[in-house]
Amino acid sequence: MQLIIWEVEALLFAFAAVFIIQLLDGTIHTRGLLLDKDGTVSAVRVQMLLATIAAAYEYVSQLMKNPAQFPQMPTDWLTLFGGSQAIYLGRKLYSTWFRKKA
Amino acid sequence: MQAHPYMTSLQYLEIIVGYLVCGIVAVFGIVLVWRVASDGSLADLLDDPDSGKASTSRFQLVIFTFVVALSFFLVVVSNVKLRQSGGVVTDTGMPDVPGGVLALLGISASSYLVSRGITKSGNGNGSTFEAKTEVKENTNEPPPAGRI
Repeated sequence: MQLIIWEVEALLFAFAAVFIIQLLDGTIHTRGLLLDKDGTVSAVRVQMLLATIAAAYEYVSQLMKNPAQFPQMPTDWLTLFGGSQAIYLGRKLYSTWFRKKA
Repeated sequence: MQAHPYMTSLQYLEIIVGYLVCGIVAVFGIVLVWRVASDGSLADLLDDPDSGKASTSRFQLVIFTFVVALSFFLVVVSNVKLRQSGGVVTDTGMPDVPGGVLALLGISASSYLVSRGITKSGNGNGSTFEAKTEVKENTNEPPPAGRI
């Protein structure tokens, strides 16, 4: 049993390493991740990225307190994350439809 | 009291099958990691197929999928270690995924889906139209001499 755990851990670390290395050396494209269509930095995308990182960090920190069971994600965090996504989608909808028609 | 001979054979069989599964998982995993690392198949992991640039909604979906998948593995391993050390484990089967985690994944995935829908619908009335017009304009040009 211990062998399969080590094996899967090693594979997961290898996958994570490949992902991080390719992200850093540019193999995985991140061009335009935070940019708007006109090439400027988009505040909506930045806030969504920060909300994503914050929610993921909160989830992992809750998990580390008791790794034997999944953490109960607080409703406040879900609201924050959902609100951030709603802002992003609202902005995207506006820039795709309404601003084009105007 | 002696152990039953069939019991010993079954135990051997269990160990052999266990090592076989370990070997298959190892070979499969090594090949997968090697191919992913060598052929750059993760290159467009974050790309939006329509705009060609990295998509924020796709990025957050990737992050949460990784985080929840890794946490699932961590929870299972922790339960196994607890059981081996004689600790109290509340559930005996697969761990229960609470509603909050499902909601988090649901928000993330539906956000990506809606984002794609908006982009697609926008392209249907915008850039695709422009692209079609461009193609039509190009068809009015005379064909190259060598292809008549």
